[in-house]
Amino acid sequence: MLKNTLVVDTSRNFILLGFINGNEATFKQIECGRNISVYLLNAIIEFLEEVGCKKEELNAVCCGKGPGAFTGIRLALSIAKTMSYALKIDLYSFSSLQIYNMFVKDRKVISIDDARSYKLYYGILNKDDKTMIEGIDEDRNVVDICDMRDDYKKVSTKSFSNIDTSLLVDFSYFNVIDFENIISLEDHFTFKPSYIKKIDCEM
Amino acid sequence: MKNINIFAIETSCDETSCAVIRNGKEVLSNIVSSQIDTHVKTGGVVPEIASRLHSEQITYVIDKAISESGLSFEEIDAIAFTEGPGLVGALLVGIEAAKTLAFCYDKPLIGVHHIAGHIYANEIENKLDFPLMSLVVSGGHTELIYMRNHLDFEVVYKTTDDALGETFDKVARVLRLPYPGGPHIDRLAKTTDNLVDLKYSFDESADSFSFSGLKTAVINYVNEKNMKNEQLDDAAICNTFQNLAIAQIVAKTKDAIEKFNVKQLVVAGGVAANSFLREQLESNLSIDIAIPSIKYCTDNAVMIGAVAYQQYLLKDFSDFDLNANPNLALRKTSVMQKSKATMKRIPIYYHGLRRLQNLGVDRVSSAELADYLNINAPSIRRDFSMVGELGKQGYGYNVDYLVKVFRSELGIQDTKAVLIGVGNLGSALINYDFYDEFGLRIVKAYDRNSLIVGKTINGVTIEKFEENCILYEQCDIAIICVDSKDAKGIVDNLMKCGIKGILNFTTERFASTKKTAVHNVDLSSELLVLAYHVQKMMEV
Repeated sequence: MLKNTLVVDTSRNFILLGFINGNEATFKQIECGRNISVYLLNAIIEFLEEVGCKKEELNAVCCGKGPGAFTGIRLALSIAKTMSYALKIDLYSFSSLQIYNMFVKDRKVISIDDARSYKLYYGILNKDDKTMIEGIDEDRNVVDICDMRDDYKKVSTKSFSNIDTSLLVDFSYFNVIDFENIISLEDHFTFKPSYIKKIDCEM
Repeated sequence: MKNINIFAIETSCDETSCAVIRNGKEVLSNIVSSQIDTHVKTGGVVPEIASRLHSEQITYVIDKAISESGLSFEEIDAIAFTEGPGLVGALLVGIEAAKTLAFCYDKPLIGVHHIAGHIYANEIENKLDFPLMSLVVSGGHTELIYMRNHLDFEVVYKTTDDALGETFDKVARVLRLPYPGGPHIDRLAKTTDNLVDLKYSFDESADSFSFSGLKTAVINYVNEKNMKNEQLDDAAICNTFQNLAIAQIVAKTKDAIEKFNVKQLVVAGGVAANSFLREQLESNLSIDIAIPSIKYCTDNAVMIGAVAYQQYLLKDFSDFDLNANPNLALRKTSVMQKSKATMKRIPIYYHGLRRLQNLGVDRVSSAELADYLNINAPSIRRDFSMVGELGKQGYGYNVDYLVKVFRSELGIQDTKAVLIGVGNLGSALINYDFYDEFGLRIVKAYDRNSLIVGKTINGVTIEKFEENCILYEQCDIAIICVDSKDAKGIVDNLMKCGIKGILNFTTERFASTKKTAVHNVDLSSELLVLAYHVQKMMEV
């Protein structure tokens, strides 16, 4: 059971912060355009004050490892790794796609995000049998994947012309047990982001 | 005296580095995780790859640096990091880690300029001797920076196009030499005395560096040879290119040293590791030259810690909302970073404290000073804390010490002036004690009148005036009290000789230039204006 746990994700152009203590969870989304670095640490400090948790009382930090904006992912990662190291607390990772599947009522969900260059990331989750699939459509197969899974709710924080997604993200649907199924314990020395998308020199 | 331990992080380009440095000089640990093997494969630094590697390495490097220092984070006084310039994604990894360490361990945070770091790499093994000229030569910078004092930077020459290190890398790529190109060019150039005709010469009169013409000359030469299917003599090309590039560096450096009359040349940056550059500077310049050892030439966190120590002494701390600044300009720290309100009050403090000093007051509390200056005590305490640890609880502030500190804050330093024209006004000026109040001292006086030459007024012997730059040596300011008809020639000559400020008491008016500030004080016009106002008042 997660206690006094900070959740942070910066894979998109806003900051997602959460605090989990037992079955209780509080989430907050902070819009900050491209200047996440300017706001991130102060936002975390203010958020911890709001939820009434001192840094010394934190037990764990959960960090979104991507996919998403490369630089954005590394901001949360750098803070989470250092916090885990300095405060000697556990470090967990979760997929930045799967976290958005937590904010919908449906048990079967596909989270979709823009990967730029006409590409999309997808994160498929069945909360009951705990299967998770993540990837990037290199040849527009997200449409196929979505078509094949009629019974899955499609969610995104953006709208897409060729896929019918729900833009509604409701933090009240967050379930701690479902969340615990999508996180992995990490070593702060070796923890790396999951970029999924390749850059030119890797191709 | 308490030791100041700084934990520093540097991630501006392709080295993830952390270090612990004590009192700005003593290196307790210096961990550098180089990405060079990765970047060799891509033939240069790919920013995204560099950022990824920093992100993977950072926690490990932090841990290794603190472990090797033998200290714990509780014994660290501040966390420093490179704020810019550099690759934004790479900088951000270090910045977020530094902010988080500062937050977790409740330590002050210090953002440091990367180039200042390279200059201060010299402070580790040598001692910076001010005023100095710093030659910064790296992959991203080629600059000559004049420093009057700690953290006081004035860029006097910079490149208009490519940086020297960048040019070395580009030329190496044309010759198919491995990345980074600098060491390979240096090594190959040493193997021959042969030169090739690159059809290139640099502009000796320009107040700047330029390397793109030289780079193009090499590319054109190589392309021409390839088109004619002629064999390339790589060593001779390297030798010629290096000779021409370094000749430009040496010529401009020599020029700047002479113009600014400095005590020391401090060489900094990755290209400072080039053996030919070191050799040429030492053989062509007769000045104390400080060059860091090879390990401190390339990027490292020790140099960031060395600058941060100076900033720590000034309490020049950063906030958690600081962002990476890939184009951060090098500028004077301290006074520049204080709030405008604080800056406005500093002259009031200085003059008030000078009055107290003249009254024989040696100690003052913030409450007493508040009454005396009509400024509230909390503002005084906050302003003073921005300047440094100036007082002691229960004791108050030492007036002499405060005067000294604010004098330095306001840039009232020991400024030497030359007086030209020692008539009635000139004599009065020599007799006036500007130094006590403004830090200005008239050290030389010249006149054409042989009846005056040889006389000594207030310790200054009047010498014969002639148009020669030697007259103004070591003086920043010239005061001219000559006949108006002679003024233009003298002002032109002063500007040509590089004087920084002219106080002109003649009726001729002169405009300031980029390099010389002119202040015209025409007493006769002032009197006419005053007479006009008096007349108007009488009419009313």
